[in-house]
Amino acid sequence: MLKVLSKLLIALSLYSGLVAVATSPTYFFGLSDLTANPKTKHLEIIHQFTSHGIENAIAELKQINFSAEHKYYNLYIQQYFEQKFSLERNKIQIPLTWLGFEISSGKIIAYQESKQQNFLPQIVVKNAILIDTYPKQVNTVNFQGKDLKGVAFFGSLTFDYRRKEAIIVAQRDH
Amino acid sequence: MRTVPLSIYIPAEIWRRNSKKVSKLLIRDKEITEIALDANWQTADVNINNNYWPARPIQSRFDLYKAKKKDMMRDYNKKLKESSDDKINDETEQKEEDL
Repeated sequence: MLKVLSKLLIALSLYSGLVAVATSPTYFFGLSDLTANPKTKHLEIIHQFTSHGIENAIAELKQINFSAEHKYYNLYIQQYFEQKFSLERNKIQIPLTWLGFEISSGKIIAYQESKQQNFLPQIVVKNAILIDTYPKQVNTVNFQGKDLKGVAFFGSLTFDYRRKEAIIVAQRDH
Repeated sequence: MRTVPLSIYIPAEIWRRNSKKVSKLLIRDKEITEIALDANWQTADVNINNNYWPARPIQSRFDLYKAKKKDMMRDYNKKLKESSDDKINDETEQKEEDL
């Protein structure tokens, strides 16, 4: 009886290990593009993260089973991004409008827009998307826009468990 | 003149030669009329506006999504046809056939 039980235990632990591997993302990288649109004068943000990672993070946060079949799937995803990603200037949060998201090839592509700001330098970016769930997570925010003189500039910020906020500094386009 | 699209995959190691600028020689029997880099948006390319020769204006992913959403909203607001409408149409067509 003991032998059967121990075999069952080993089988169960192997199975749960496999399930854990199957449900965790295979890479821990997120990408966000932050663009100051010169035509519309709006800030446009596009996030790309693994749908698996986002779903697992929400499931862990809310202690629920979370998947596309969930009643509040769209709402919880919106809330998650709005809680974990924000922009500030002079310690005042810049309001971001949630436009929606789409899922493509295992990725969630989420869209946000700010109609009140289009000037990037000195904006503080706070990005903790998936970082609290996966310690290995590294997020990149690529930004591009123009400075006060109308000269194009672009750059990149990196976020991980040690750094969840960073400030945009103008880097001249040569 | 018929154009034949051809896709080639260049190993990512090409960027190790020079991360800012790199070139590749293409030798073909026919004149090359068009080049598209990463046509299927498979790389994490920040700016796709310089991926085409001859240059072409590309709607940004952001604008594409907003347009798509607008189309969805327009279709959402479109009044659904009622089953009685279909019945009336069928009857009208039947009458026309009989005539």
